Amino acid sequence: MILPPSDAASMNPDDPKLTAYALDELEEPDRTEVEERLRNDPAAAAEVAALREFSAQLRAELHKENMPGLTEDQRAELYAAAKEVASGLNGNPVSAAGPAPAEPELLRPSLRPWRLWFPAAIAASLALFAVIHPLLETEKRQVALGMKESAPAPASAPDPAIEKPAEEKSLAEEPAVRGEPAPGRARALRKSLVKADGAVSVDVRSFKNQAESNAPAPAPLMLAPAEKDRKEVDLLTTDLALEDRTALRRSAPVPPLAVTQYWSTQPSTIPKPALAAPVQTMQAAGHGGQNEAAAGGFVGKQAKPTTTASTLSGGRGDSSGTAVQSKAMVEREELREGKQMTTRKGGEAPVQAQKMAVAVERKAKPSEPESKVEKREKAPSGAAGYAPAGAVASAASSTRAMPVPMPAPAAPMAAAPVPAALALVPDPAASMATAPVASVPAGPTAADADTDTVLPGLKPAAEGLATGVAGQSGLALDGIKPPSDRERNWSVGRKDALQDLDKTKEHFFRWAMVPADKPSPAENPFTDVQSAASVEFTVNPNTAGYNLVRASLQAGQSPVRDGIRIEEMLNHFSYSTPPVQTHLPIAVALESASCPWAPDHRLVRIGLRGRAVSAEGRGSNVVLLSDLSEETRRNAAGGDVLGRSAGTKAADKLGESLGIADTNDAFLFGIVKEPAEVAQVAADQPAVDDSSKIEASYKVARDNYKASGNNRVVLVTDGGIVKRGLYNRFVETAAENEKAGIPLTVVCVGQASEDERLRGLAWAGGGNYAYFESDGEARKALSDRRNETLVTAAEAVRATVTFNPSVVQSYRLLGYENDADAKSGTDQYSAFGRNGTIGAGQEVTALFELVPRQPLLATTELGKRSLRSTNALGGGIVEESVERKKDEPPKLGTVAAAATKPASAPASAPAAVLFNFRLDCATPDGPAATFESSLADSDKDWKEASEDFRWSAAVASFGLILRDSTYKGDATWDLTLQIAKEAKGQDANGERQEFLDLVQKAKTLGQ
Amino acid sequence: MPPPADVPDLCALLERYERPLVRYALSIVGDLESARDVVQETFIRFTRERRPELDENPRHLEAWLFTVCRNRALDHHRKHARIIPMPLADERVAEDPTPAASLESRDTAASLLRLLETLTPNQREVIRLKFQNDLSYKEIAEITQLSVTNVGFLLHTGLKKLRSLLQQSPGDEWAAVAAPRET
Repeated sequence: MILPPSDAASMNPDDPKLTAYALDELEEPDRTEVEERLRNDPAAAAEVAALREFSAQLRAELHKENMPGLTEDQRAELYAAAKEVASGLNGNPVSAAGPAPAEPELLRPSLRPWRLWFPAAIAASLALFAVIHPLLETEKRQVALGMKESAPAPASAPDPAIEKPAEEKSLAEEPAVRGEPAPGRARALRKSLVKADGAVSVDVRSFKNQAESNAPAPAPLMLAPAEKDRKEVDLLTTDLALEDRTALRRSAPVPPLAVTQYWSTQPSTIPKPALAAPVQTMQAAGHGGQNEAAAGGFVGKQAKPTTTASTLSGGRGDSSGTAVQSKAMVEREELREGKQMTTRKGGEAPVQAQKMAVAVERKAKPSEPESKVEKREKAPSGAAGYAPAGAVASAASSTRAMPVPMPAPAAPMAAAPVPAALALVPDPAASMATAPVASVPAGPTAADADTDTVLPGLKPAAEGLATGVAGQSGLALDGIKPPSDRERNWSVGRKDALQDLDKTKEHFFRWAMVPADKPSPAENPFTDVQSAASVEFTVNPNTAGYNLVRASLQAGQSPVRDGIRIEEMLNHFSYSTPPVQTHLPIAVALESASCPWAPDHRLVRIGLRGRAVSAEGRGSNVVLLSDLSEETRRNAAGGDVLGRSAGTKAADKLGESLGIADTNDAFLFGIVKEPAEVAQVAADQPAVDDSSKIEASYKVARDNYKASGNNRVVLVTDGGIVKRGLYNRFVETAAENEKAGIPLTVVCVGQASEDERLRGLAWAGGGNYAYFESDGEARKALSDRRNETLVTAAEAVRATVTFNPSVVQSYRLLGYENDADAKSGTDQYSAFGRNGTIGAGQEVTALFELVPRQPLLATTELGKRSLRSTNALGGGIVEESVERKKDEPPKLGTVAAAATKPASAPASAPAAVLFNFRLDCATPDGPAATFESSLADSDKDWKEASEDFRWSAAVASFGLILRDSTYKGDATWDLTLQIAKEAKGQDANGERQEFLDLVQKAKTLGQ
Repeated sequence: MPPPADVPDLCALLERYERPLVRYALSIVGDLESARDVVQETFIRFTRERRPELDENPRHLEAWLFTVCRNRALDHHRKHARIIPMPLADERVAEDPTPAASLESRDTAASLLRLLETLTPNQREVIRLKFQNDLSYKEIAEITQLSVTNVGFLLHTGLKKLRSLLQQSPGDEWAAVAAPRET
């Protein structure tokens, strides 16, 4: 190396040349030059000597560093790959780039016997991991799950570095080469493999990675020579049976499908038997299907969709014979549709879907009498859309002979979560029509519309309407007490419905451990009501989104798109939903008005508020596990809070590794009010390393467990645990303990680089996830909202919204988009952060933007716009029905509540039900409960709406602009500011003003 | 399974480089699983791109392997920092515990590794490549896409810093070497 000439006089000891010389890296002529100078400069010579010695030591020490190797499976795959390449695949144009190496010549003889099928098999396998591994994080989800039996892999986004295309193509020729008819490549290969007799010396066990390209089949078959009997191997079975962690990791586990059957209608409240109709039957495959499936599968905690859903609805409805009803409805559905969902492998559905189908079926079997017909509800991205679920659902549906035209299928995959599934129901409108009518309940006095932010609605609407909160008297959750008027909206089921939730978690956390790269989540598009009148999602109680946005804006940067989670921004604020008075878990407020950024659209706000339960009364057992690096603590706004807890041993432990906080720390942190509430941590915890500290903290929590108290481990971290490789371990531990009744709350402070994974961790641990820019912020927020953090009001809160097709043309759930993996339709991480746990007093808001159906659609601007938005789904399914509202029979009676508003859209028609809303949740110490209500539209302009509504609209519009959403309509900074200013209200804690400042700042930054 | 006999070169390669590469990848990506995947990809790429020049020269091969490994690792790593781009590692010197910290063994090397964390990422990487993998300046330059001069400078400053840090908080055997000799 030639360095610039140094001072000729003497050697500056700080000269890099010296170092280079000491390391023998200098070449002539520098070398001789330096040597000469060294002769004259003893100081420099000494320096060189010291350097040499130091570097020798350094080298020695570094060489001692741990050197893990590859796993056996990985090595096996490599050998297989090498062999495959080496063999040159005699005659098969499969070799990778470059000239065929000479080795094949040598290898050929030995391979001769297997010549025919071996190369193909290897090629297939190679394709598998060639596709998988290079893509790895990038495409992990899609790849892993994809097992397309059809044409050779469209290998999504092939890593350019690896010459897959050539590979794929050549592989594609395989069947042809061997003269096999190739209905599907995989099938062909499979057949060929089956014919082969003779073992493959490659350990195919590792080829469980299912590439979405081809030959998924060969792998398992190759594995077991014993399996070579002709009958078709159920690939999926084989796959699933192999519980290899690597495989699972790569091939994405098979989360159960969500199968929500029908409304569990309460005879006493809102009987909507026909409402089941609009619930989507996941049909036909198609990309759209995939995405939906994801949605269907979701529900973070709702676990195994299939089983759970049914069970849940069964459970919940039980008390009123809903199960029976459901079954009846199912049968009715079957008749109507004439379709049976079977979980057999199917045609074009991606293999993943098949896997799911199998999994679903399997799981469904034990507990699902009605599993024959699997209905999957699509949940909008909000739900835990996990990819597999999505895939499955679509797969499953696709496997059914589903000729039903899928408007959705054309929908781009990126359209993601919002289900585009078809409803086979022949006459959704009719059902909807009848439903509302039917739902005029006997009974419940409309007068219940007392509280209320909500619009006046129909009786039933009024009943549960705006504040379907509960009745005057406490609901006896044991179901003995007859429900009051309010309570009518609630139905209570068996607690064991929750058990199925655990199983979903198992699946989740297994792949929570995988750092997956997912493409940027797509927003929910407008979903046409004809195709999917109902949408289901798990509420997202997190508030991190807002903090992330705030952090970046305050730092003068534009927020990264992924961090802009509108639903979380909405959650950050307090609203004025009237609190629940009784034991019912959640208060619900529904409201609709015009949409500020799209005047022709309606905006629906669903506000939830957890029951306020004081933490004090229940006793607290909180262990604070702190993982804040020096850096973060130094930067903490509040100063070195934790470090200042002088005299506590914990402070010393809270260095760069996990530390179990002393009571004082938790107290200082604001997690708890009294030091005594924090579990005492033995000073001499035998925790030498980080992972045992995790265990230790849970042990402390368990040791101090307070029945019916708040038991929790709170992790405060800045992502360090992820970086240090503790993530997987933590997820497992958290999930286990969550089952044992000690949930984990994750608070991310400072750096948000591990935001996704920490959300996942919180999900696995059954708690919520919050992000704060600094621990000072965290302290402030947590102490203000400690109840929300510590105490759970309801778990597994899942909302299902069914829109009225005759009133609503299409709808869109704002936010909740981080669940969709644009390509594969699933994203396991979406589940994370969405376990739907609502804390005590916590407020969660969901917004829907609706395109109302109006007469003369084709000729009005609105109509045209609606057409456009529907067509955007790729289907253009909706034909303009010019039915005029007023021709329709009045749906839900007349508005009985006070403050009547004029009828909805169509000129003089009476108010029609806009949607039915249902909330399923589990109470922490009680049985599962369901809330149902509906909302009728009004003609209200947003300016007349409640403050909560307007504020939500302002926040949402801010989010839309930040995201540069395609749906932002006319939203502008100024509009946002205008709405916000007027809706600011009391703003007791200044958070709304802060928002205004933030918008101002964003506007200035020119975002 | 025992390495098959017909791919001897791969076996040898794995034998020699598998572990160092995983260690290196781990220092970039941060978790073992990803590091393993990265290394596997590297080897797969190797098997598929058997270029003559690689076969001939083992040093070239080594550098090539490290280069590919590094690129894959960086790609992978980049993909995971998608949320807020908070001012991160590269600017700050004292960072959060980085991946290497998790590898610490319980002996004195632990302190050294911890000290490594105080260096900038570039310094750290270059030092690892040099002292852990015994690569030359040229090879390091090739792998990291830096100039040779740059590499020299990084090593120089990195070593200097390490020595000064060790002086401040030395383990016994280090104090001596760390201290500059006085003539």
